[in-house]
Amino acid sequence: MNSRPTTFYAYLLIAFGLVILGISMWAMIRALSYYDAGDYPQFFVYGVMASVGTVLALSSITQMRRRMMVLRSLAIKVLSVVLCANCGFKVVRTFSAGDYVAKEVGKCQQCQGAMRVDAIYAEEQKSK
Amino acid sequence: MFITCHSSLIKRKLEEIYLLGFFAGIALQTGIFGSSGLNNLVNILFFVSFFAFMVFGQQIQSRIALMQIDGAVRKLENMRNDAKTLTLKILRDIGKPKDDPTPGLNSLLEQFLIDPVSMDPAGIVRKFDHLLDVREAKFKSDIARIAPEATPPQVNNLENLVEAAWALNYMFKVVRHLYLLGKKTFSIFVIFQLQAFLPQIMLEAEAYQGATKAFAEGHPIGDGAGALVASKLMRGREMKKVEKDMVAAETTVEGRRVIALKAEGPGGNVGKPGDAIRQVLEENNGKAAMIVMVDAALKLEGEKTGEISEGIGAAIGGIGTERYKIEEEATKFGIPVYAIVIKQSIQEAVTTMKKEIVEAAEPVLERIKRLILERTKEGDLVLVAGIGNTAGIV
Repeated sequence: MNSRPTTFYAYLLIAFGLVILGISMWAMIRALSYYDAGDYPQFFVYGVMASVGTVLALSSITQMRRRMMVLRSLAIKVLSVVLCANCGFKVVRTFSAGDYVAKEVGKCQQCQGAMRVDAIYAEEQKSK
Repeated sequence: MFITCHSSLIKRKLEEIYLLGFFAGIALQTGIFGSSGLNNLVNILFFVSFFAFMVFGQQIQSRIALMQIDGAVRKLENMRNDAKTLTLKILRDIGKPKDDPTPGLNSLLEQFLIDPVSMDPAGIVRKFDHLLDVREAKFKSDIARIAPEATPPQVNNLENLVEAAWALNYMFKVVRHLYLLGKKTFSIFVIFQLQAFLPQIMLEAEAYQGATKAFAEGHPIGDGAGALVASKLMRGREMKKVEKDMVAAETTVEGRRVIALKAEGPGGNVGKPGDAIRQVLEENNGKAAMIVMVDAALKLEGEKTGEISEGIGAAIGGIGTERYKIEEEATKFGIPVYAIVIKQSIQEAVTTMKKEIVEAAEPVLERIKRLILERTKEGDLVLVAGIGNTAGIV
């Protein structure tokens, strides 16, 4: 079984969070420039906007990061290890329905001995 | 009485509002953010929010907690629905029922077990054991009725699948009950307690969600680590059925007779290792030099998955009926019981077996051999019991 939950929306939301963070940074720079110019009302408006934006963007990015880690852990690949007890010839293939440990699944390509499923396990997808 | 109470409450609220207005006035006059134009608005907002948090802080926190719990309840409901949909799909695919299996499944999901009375604890293990036998037999026969075409191993897998869906249904209902109770009474103790336990509940729910997928496909699960080790010992040997839903096979290790035991696979099944060990010991007149039990064990945070630990005693989970039987037999015949466990998290225990757990099987076999060499002599009989769910393992 290959279950690969999509991470597209998580990436999209992270991108959105980054845009908000960028705008907040811009607002903060504006606020500081208003402060230098002595325009305090504008400084407060931009300052509050920048602070709120930064907090919200960082919180949403952190949450999405956590969500992506969960999604990645769900993206598992189940493999069956088929082994020849005679010569030790090993084949690792994707799990197919009906596989179970110790099931005989044919003859060995090298020695014609019985090939059996030696192990079935889940392997997490490696991050690219 | 009530009128007095209400009037004092209204009075207090009016005082609070008046106080807010008063401080807002001071804020406007002295203004920590300046005292003209837009600054006045910022001053008012600052003071109002400061006093609002002071007065309504707990209510605001409770509301935020309720919002979080609400999200979790919805997530649990989705998980429960997904599990139910998957179970129905598998029941239809495998069982090929003539009628709609939904009512039958709904009835199974609402099933319960009443614990035996514990005021007089003498004999409670026997009573529990009997109740569990009845429950299992009924569960299996109900599933076999809903899915008439399913083979016995498939019925076992379906039973595990329905149990995972049952667990998700139960968790959803309990969390929803506490959430609605908290909402109704607005009791911070109910709300905050539920909020405190929520991360753990959600982790467990996610584990059961993973379990439904594993049972639907017939994968071995992490809990089957012990069964995997026993299966490796049994390979190439003749297996015989023993009590109850268990299999045994005899092999030789360094001149010692070794009888390996595990639940009968490849369907999801834990069997009754206590009964199996009792039967094997009785067949051999209690003349065993050692019992080695291999099982999966919950790791502590920070411990690695697949780590192996050795100990003394009967390594077996559940409510304790099987452990009781094994301890009874071991004490009766004076047989030492050794335990080897493979560490894993609760999620790993009920989801598809991870590579680290599979890789731990060979080192466990080496440890068993070492134990046998160190603690027994040639010609002795050793029992090795692989404990755990044998889904996907023969």
